[in-house]
This record gives sequence, C-alpha cells and structure tokens, in this order.
Amino acid sequence: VSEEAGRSFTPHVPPGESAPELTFRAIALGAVLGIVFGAASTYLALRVGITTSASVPIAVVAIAILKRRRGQRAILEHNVTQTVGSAGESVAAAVVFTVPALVFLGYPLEVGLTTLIALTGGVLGVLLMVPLRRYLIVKEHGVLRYPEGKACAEILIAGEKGGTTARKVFAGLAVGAGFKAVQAFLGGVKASAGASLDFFKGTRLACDFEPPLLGVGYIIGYRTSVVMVAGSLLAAFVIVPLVLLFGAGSPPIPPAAAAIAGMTADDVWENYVKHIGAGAVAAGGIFGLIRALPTIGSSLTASFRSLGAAFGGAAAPSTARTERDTPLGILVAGAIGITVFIWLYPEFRMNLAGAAMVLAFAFIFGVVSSRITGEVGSTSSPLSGMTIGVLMATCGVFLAVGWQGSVYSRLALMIGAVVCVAISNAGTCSQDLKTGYLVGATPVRQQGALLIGVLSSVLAIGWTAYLLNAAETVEEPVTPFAVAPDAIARAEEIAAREDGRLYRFVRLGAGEAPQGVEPGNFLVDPSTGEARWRRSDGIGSDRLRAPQARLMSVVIDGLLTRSLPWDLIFLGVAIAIFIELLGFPSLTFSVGVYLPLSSTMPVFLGGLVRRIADRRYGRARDAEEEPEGVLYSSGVIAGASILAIVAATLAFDTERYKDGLHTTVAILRGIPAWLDERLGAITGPISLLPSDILTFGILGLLGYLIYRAAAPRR
Amino acid sequence: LAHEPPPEPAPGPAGDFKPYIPPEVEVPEFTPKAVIFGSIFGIIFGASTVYLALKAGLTVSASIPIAVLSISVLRLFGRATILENNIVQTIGSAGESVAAGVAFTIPALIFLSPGANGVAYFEYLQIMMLAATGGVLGVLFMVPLRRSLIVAEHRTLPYPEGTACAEVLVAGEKGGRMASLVFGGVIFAVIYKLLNTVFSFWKEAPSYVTPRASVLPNATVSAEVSPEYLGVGYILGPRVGGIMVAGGILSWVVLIPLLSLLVPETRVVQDLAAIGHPDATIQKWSEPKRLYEAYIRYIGAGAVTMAGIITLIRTMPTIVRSLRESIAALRKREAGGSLRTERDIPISVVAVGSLALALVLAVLPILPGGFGGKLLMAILMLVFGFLFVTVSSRIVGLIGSTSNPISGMTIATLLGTCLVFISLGMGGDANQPIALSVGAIVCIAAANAGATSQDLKTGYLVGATPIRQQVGLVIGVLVSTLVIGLTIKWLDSTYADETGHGIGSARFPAPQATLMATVIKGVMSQNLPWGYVLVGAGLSLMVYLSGVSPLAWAVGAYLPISTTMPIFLGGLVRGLVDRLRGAEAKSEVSPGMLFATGLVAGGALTGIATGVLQWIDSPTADDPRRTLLRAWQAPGEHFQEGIASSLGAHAPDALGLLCFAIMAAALVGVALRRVSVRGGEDR
Repeated sequence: VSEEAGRSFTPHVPPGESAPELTFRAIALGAVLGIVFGAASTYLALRVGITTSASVPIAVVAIAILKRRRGQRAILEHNVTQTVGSAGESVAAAVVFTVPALVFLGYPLEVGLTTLIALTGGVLGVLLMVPLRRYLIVKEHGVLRYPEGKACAEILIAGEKGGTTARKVFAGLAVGAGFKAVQAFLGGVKASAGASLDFFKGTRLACDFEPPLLGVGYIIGYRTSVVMVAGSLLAAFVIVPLVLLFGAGSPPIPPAAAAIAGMTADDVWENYVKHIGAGAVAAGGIFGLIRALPTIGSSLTASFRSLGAAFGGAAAPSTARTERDTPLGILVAGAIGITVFIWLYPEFRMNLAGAAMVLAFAFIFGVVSSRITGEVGSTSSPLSGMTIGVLMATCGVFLAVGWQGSVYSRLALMIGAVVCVAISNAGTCSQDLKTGYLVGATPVRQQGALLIGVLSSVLAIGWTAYLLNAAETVEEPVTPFAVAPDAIARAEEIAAREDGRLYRFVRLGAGEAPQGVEPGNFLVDPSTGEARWRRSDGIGSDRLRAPQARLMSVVIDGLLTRSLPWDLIFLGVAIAIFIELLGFPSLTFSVGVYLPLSSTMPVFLGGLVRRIADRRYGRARDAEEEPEGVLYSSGVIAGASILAIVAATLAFDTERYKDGLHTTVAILRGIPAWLDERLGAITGPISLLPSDILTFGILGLLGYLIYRAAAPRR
Repeated sequence: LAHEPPPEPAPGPAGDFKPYIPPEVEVPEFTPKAVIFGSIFGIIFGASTVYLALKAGLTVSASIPIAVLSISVLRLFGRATILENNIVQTIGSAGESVAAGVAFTIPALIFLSPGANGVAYFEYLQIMMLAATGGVLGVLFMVPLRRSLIVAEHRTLPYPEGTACAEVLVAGEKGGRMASLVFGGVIFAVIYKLLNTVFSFWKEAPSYVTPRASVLPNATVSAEVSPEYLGVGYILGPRVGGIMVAGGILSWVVLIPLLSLLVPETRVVQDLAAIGHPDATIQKWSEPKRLYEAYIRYIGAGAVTMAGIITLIRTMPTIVRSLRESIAALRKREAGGSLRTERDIPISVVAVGSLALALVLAVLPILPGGFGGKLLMAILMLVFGFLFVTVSSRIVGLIGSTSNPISGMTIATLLGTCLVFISLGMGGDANQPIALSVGAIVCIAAANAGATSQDLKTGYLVGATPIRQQVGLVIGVLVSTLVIGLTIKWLDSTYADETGHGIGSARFPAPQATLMATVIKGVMSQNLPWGYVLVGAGLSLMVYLSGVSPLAWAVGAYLPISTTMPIFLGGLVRGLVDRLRGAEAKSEVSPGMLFATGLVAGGALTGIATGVLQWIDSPTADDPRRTLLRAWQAPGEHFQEGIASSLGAHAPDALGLLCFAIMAAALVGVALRRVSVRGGEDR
C-alpha cells in the first residue's frame, strides 16, 4: 500500500482493471453478517455500553467464503461484503447510545420509531460522505490515516494471497455460541454467579455468565477494563454499603419513598446509585467533549478550508472507474427527501425547525466525525461527546425560543438520535471508503453497498432493541391513583403486557408522584385518568443499563425539564472530577459506576486474559495489531450475543415457550441444583454456593480458550 | 494526565553516582561544634513541634530550616564544612520527628478508658523512656535499609525533603546565586507568612462551603494559602498533587455531601458525643467538620490502613531483598575495606542494640503491665517497628515526609496489637496502656525513620559518612527526648482546665492522640466502627486496582482538603513551569526547586516562630495579657472586615487566593530564570 499523496497513488486493483464487485452473493453475505453483528452490537451496547469493530472479522469471513470465480479476483466483492456488513455495528452503537433515552424520558420504546431513526440517520450519514470522500479520502490520503480502514485493506490484500484464515472467527463463533447455549438453553450453568461478603453488609461480588463480555474485555484490553471495573467497585463496595450503613437510622430520604433501613442493595442502587452513576456518566461525557473540543475545532476548520478551496476551483471529476461517485443530484434529492420525511412522518413528532437542525448538525458533526476517525481511528472517536454537543446545542436553541418541558425533551432526543446515527455511520463509511480507495473499489458501487448495509441492518437493530427491552420489562399493579390530565394528554399509547389493554405511558418525576409513591413510569387508564400499572422497562434494568442513553437523558432532562435529583447527580459529577484528578478517562470509570458489578466483572476477566496473553506471548500491552485473540473474541461476541438475544426473545413469550423450554430443553438444569443440594452452601466471611464455583470455573475455562486462541500463528 | 504504570526500578545501583564530597576526601564532619549546635536546634524544634502537633495536629519538616540556620550560624564560629552542616541538620531534625511521633500518640494515655488508669503512666520518665526507645529503634532499623532504599533505589525514590536539604547545603557552601535563591524564597515566605498569620491581612485558609440546602450540601473546598504548601506541592509535582487532592475531593466534595444527605444532624451530634467529643467542642464545629470528625476520619483511617497494607505487600520484595543483603554483608565482615561513604553501623550492633532495648522495656518496672505483658509488648514493638520503619522510609522517599501517613500506620499497629491481645485473652481496660505503648514506640520509630531516611539521603548526596550520621541521629534522639517529655507535661499542667488536663481541651485538642485512644478503646471493647473502616479499605482497594499509588491518595482522603488543595496548586505550578521550560526542567537543582525549598523553609520557620510567639504572649484568647498579637492582628482584621463589608462576604477569601496566586507567580518567575545550574547532582 503506497503512502504517497493522492495524485500518484495506484490502488491495489488498478482503475483500468475491472473485477466482479457489487454481486448478489457479496451483498447477501454482507447483509447476513451485518444483521448478525448489528444485533450483537445492539446487545453489547445496551448491556455495557461498548461495541467492537466488525469490519475485520467480516472481511476475514468474506475471504473465506467468497472464493474467486472464473479466474476473476474476488477482492472487490470481499470489500463490498465488509462494507455492507460493517454498517450494522456503527448504526447499532449510535441507536443504542441515544434511542433508549426515550424510556428514561418517559416514552415507550417502539420498533417502528427505532428503525426509522436508524434508517434516516444511517442514510444521511452515507449521503453526507459522498461529497466528502473526494476531499477527506482522496486529497488527504497521505495526511489522514484512517487506521481501521487501512488495517481492513491490508487484511483484504493479504487474503488475496492466502495470508488470512477465518478459522479463529468460526472457532470463536462456535465456542461463544456453545458456552452461551449451555447456560441459556440447557441450564447447566447459572446466569450469574456471586459470593456475598457477610462481614461487609450490602456487598456482593457478582459475575454474570456472559461470554460476549469476556470477548469485549479482551478486545478493549486490560487498562480500559480495569478502570471500568474500578467504577463498579466504587458503586458496589463503597457507595451502596455506605448508604446502608449511614442511612439505617434516617427517615426516608428522597427520591426514595421508603426508609433506607428496609432496603436491599438493589433498592439502594435503584433509588440512589442510579442517579449518582447517571451524573457521573453525564459529567464524564462532558469532560470527554471538552477534551475533544480542540480536535473538533481544528478538524472543522481544516475540512471547510479544503471544501472551500475545492468549490472555488471547480474540480473536474475524472471518468476513471475508481473516481465514479454517486451523482450530486441524487444526493441533494436524497438529503431533502430525508429531511422532509423526518419533518412530516408523524412518529417523529418533528417540526420543520427540528428537521433543519438535524440536517445542519449532521453535516457539521459528520465532517468532524469523518476527519477524527481519520486521525485517531473509530475506537477513539468521541461519539457520545459529539452527541452531547448536539444535544446541548439543540437544547440551547430550544431554551432561547422558550421551548421547555417533556414534549421538547422528546424532540431534542429525536434530533440528537438521528444526528448521532448519521455521524457514527459517517465515521464508519469513511473507514470503508478508505479501504475501498486502497484496494481500488468503485466508489459509486461502494456507496450503494453502504446504503444496502444500512437498510438491511436497521430492522435487526430495531427488533433486537425492542425484544430485549420487552423481555426484561416488568409491570406491577399499583393501587390506582389519579394522574394530572396534562401528563396524560402528552403521553403515548401503549399496550400493557399483562392484560393487553391500551394505556397511556406516563412518567411521574420526583415532584409529580403522590406521597408514598416512588417516581417512575406508569400505565394510566385514559378513560379514568388513574394509574394502573407501574412499568419498569427492561432498558435501565440490571441487565440492560444502556449507560450512554442514560447520559443523554440526563443532559436533556437537566436542560429542558430540570426535574432531576440534583443532589445525587452532582455527587456523580464530583466523582467524575475526582477520577479526572486521578488521571483516568472519567467516562469509562463512570460507565462502570453506573453498570452493575456483575456486568463489568466479566469484562474485567476478559481484560485480565488479554494481559496474561500479552505477557505470555511477548506482545506490547493492549496493542492494537493483534489478530489472533481479537478475531477469536469477535467470533465469541457474535456467536454468544445472537444466542443471548434468541434466548431473551424466547423467554419473553412466556405463553408459548417458557414452560416448554424448562421441561424439554433445559436438560442440564439439574446440575447446579444437584451440586448445591449435595455439597451444601459454603458459609463464613464469604458465602457462596457450589454452583457459583462451577459457574466461575466454566467462565475461567472460556477465558483459557481465548488465551489459547490468542497464541501467535506459526 | 495520561495514566502511566509505576516506574520500574532502575537497573542496578547507581554505580556512576558521585557525591558532592567524594569518598576519598576527608573533611571535618563529626566535630563538637556540629554536635552541640545540632543538639540545640533539636531541642528548639522538638519543643515547637510538640506544641504545633498538639495544637493543630500538623508538623513541619525541620531539616531544611535547620540546614539554613546551620549554614549561617556555623559560619560565625569559623569555617564550617558542608559535612558539619549536614551533621547539624541530621541531629537537629531527629528532634522534630520524635516530637511528632510523641505528640501523636502519648497524650492518648489521658484519653483511655477510666479503668485503664493511663494517667498514671503519663509521667516524665515514662514519656522519655518511650520516646527514646522509639527514636533509637527507628535509627537502628534504618541502618540495614539504607543500602537498599537510599543507595540502590537512588533514581526511583526521590526523597523530596532530603534532596531539597542537600540542595540547600550545597547552595549554602557555594554561596552566590544558588543560596540567594533559597534565601530569597525564605525571605519571601517569612514576609508573606508574617503578613498572613501575624498581621492577618488576608485569610489563612480561604474556603467555600456550600449551604446545607444546596444541591451538594456541605461540600467544602478550602486551601491554606501558605508558602510551605506551595513549595511542597511544587517539589512533589502535579501527578502526586493531583492524586492527593483527588482523595481530598472524594472526602470533602463526595462523601461529606453524601453523608449530609443520609445522616440527620442530630445523629451526627450523638455519634460525636458517643466517640467522646465534649459538647462544647461539637457546638463549635461547622457541619462539614462534624461529619469529618464523626465519620470521614474513620473512613480515611481505613483507607490509609488498607493503602499501607497494600504498600507493605508491594514493597515486600524490597524488604526481603534488603534483609538478605544486610545478612550477606554481615557474613562478609569486610568492614575495613569499604569506602568512607559506605561505612554503616555494624549490623551486629544493630541486632544487639534492638534486642537490648526490647529486654530493657520488658523488665523496666515503670512501664505498664506485668512481665508477660511487657515481654509481649517488646516483641510486638520489634515486629511492628521493623515493618513500619521499612514502610515509612519508603513512603517518605516517594511522596515526602510532609505526607507521611504516620497516624495511619500507628492505627494499623494498634489494631494488630489489640487483636493479638484479644486473641491471647488479654483484652480489657487494664491492658490498654500496654497496647498504646506499642503504638507509641512504633509511631515514634516510624516517624523518626522517615526523617532518618531523608537525612541519610541528604548525606548520600553531599557525601557524608553514614556511621557518623547514624551516631548523630542517636544523639539527636536522646537529647531531644529530654525536652519533649518536659514540654508535654508542662503544657498539660500549665493550661489545665476543669478536667485537670490542658491536653484534650479546646486549646490543645491533640487530634491524632484522640484518634489512637479511640481505636484502642473501640477494639478492646469491640465497638470500633468497622463499617466505616471497611468503606475506606474498599476505596483504597479500588484506587489500587486502577493502578494509582493508593497511599498518596488515601492520605489525601484523610487530610483536610485545606492541606491537599494548596499542595495540588503547587503541583500545577510545577506542571506549568515544566511545560514552559521543556526538557531542561528535568534537573533537580533548578531555580524553581531552590526557591520552592526556600518557601518551605521560610514558611515553616515563621510558623514555628509564630507558635512560640503565641506561647509567650498568653495562654487564652480572652486573657488580658494577650496584648501583643492582638495589637498586631487588629489592623489586618479590621482591613478584612472592611473589604468584606464593601466587596461582599467572600472578598477576604478571594484576597487570600489572590495573594497565593501572586506568590505562585513569583515562583514561576524565579523558576523560568535562566541560571546556570551546576549542582553536585548526578545526571
């Protein structure tokens, strides 16, 4: 791969040579993989707020499956497959970082809206990158590295010479799926293992049996995972016991309606630590934004300078194959069409000003995102920071024109969500286009592939988010109480899961709920105006904490409705400051504070495996260029996440599947119970069950397999 | 602030290191003149330290002030060598550290349970005995550790005070501009501190406390705007300063507001009374201060204890290695052949001396307990003493004596001792004084080991003869203990209130000793707030897991934020200067370092002088005799009230910060000067 400036650069497949590119098999494989990795990313992002890049694993699989036909090289097909497939991951991350905030703001999470946000944002991101390609990818070829795009091109080129193998990915897929199946379908392992520390009231060392989280920990590396788990330790081993200890003799302390004396550790989390964590995450995101501001500013000026120069010079597009872009007319029509669609489609409840803001912010931050991913790589791109920037700017405009309250919160979130998806996808598109540029793809075909990638993955993402949420959602009956009519009027209709009737989905904040009722989301019967059910959505629960979405909701709530438990939020902010002073990135730590220890522990174990492997195999610590273990872990993530989603979906439909599953499929479920009965609980300063040890042991086995797979190839 | 893993130890000892006075050169060192002046300074600084420690729970390192004084005073008595000056500061500084250790622990005898009859042992002879034993043990235990900590880890352990002291000694001898930088800092600090504390022109500790009803109730941000903290912060640098103030932020901006939300004010008062604080004291405290005294102190103690244990575990390899080295050196027996700068007190003397001390303690009738109890005390003293001497000397190497968590280590000792006692069925009131005696000796030994290591580092840099320094240290300990016991007894009886004791009254609250007594009473009667302590331990563990040195952090969590904040600001100044100067800032003998050293010395000297002045002036604030200071402070206080009424209530705070900023600007100005720096340092 040449590193020279754009003009004299010859791609791997020269412009004069043509090879099969946008073929059906390439698109189909890409779409399937895009759905798999999109769904897996949705699951991961909801669970721990992290996604991992899918381009390289998809490229490797494409090379293994799509062989050359009739003597023609298949590298451009491979490129199309990874282009189609990688859209899923970037769209999924952005959707999960924003859309679940709907639940936190008091609106239901619906499949249709989620899918449409993903679709409009994703398409907008692709369209945006069409004119920018010429300037960022071609002109600045020697300047902007686009590390992930370059790495992917290297994989594709090596693959043509037979230098790659997808064995690690497939092995990881099989192992990840197998381990998850043993737990989720066969019942041989508990979903979560734990040990209670009896001498320290309210603390429990817990670890979920989650193979994908182990894989994530391996990929993000030891440093990041340890900072994250330290955040969870602060919540679980300091704040929770502290609240239980000191609050024991106190009267009920808002926002809780009950006294602390009767609370469990979970109650303490729900009432207090949740808000502290949310404040910390919000502050961590804002610190990240502040740190990124110089980069954002410089990339914005650099981009506009080169754009301005280009418009002035009236560049004449050449007709070579590798320089054919999507025509400008289609672009303009597409962008206007999307804007109008967002404006007019009723589900968005958007106005024209909002739609215009979407277009403007998407353009500005799309340029920034594309350039930053070129400079520092997709992994380090401050996506949530930029989204906070968008939200703050949006809310600032709203406040200036006097738009406040719940309705505008939703509007602000819609704008932020579409823009977030657009800029996330713009970054991924840039990496793909860089890959294409290096291997010699035809831009217009790649852009088509990008659009197909968005279209094929959005449904999977929307449904995954919806089903996961639904699977964990709990509705409890409440003693009926009257709700203010205006709160009902602005609420959306939703069918209750318990009785199937239509209700209004109303959020009652700290001041709005009547005395003795904990704030939360309620289902209100519109005919009587009384709340019937307390609805606790799966999103925000222990297993689907959705940290970034919580962050967005705090920013919006803080600026527009201002109905936050400010004392707890500020405690979180102070914790973020404390962490910045210690010298860590506070967002990672804060996400750890907000997540349960049982979720971050497996991530940490994965990081630990990485550290041991790096030491054993003599690699630099957490080095990016480490194909074996990362590919294997990607496979584990994909395989196990898909099974986890399937399991959650099946468990959700209690009527049809749950009983059947328990009697016929979960044939191993007797093992943990038998162990516990046979050996008895272990008590003492640390108390746990034999089945916990079994679970830890099987997780350790998975860690060992990853460690083995990370061995360098001979 | 990018996170970096702790630096790996430098490969091999600093073999190419050349001290200021080379080993081959013999100059007058252990002269009568030096010993006499060292003893005098030791007495002065020992007495003042007792006073300050009892009053404010704070001590300031005395090595540098003594070195500065020594240079100018010895000159009056004819020519003096740098090694003589070094002996003076070595002997003198022993007094300060022993005094700190004594003042932190021994007054706890008064606060023990009534059944313990601790007061019976609060007598001159006993105090002197404990102080001397602890001090000498600290010196002896440091003998084998010198080779591994000072010599082998020369590059990894900076020993900021010891290094600064060496710079002062070198600058003093070379005269000229280097000394003028130090003296400039001293003069600046003296003027600043006089205007600040004696004439009260601006606040000593500007602070901001959020109201109880605010969203972050009782969050406290405060900074004691004194030159010594600015200087120490500058010497420590931004990284350590940041870690320390992070602990402060956690205590004062996270935990105190959280506790304000959780705990009703009435319960805080009850809890404080249960700990044993008199009602009048509680009423005087502000809300954050009450929460600090009632809870944060224990959380901080738990954090410090845990951090100390973690550090201990992490330094175990070094400890084992240095022990093995010492034993190997003992076997070789080639005492005559080594260089002058490598001659230590023989290890056999160390071993026999320690055992003899233990034996004397075990049979001495004036100490508490029967023979069995005393024997146990002696054994525990040796075990914990060696443990914490090792830890202490390493910690002060890393973060400086100013930040040495002596009280944390003493708490750990007390906890361990009490647990041993209880497991042997020796719980109960009667054995409380024995446990405290162990704690006191270990505390004094650890404090003195810290000062000793700084002195030995200084000696290593200037090229002193270790054995002469070690003998000097023993002399310093013995001389100062004569006065320390006297001062304590005298303050206690002169200012006695209705309880019959001056110590424990509002005037001499002796915070650390109160804490020690609480721990002993708590464990012996099984009601220590384990919950609080475990929370602190969990915090330290979390910080350690994240790869940060937990000790600096835990100390920050334990100290008032008014102490850590100015240290952090000093660190920021250093960061700024390093950035502006680029690569050349790496040198340890930079104008900024010398000026900062001067600030520390001047601030400390003035602080001590003010203490003495207050002591001369009058015993109580309402005393009509207290005329001098009042008259001096009146115009300044009037001025402060004036600006507060015309510019708003926070104006005096802003003024204090402004003065601190001016001082920081002066430090930056000096630090950016292009002075040709040629110290006797290795590069």
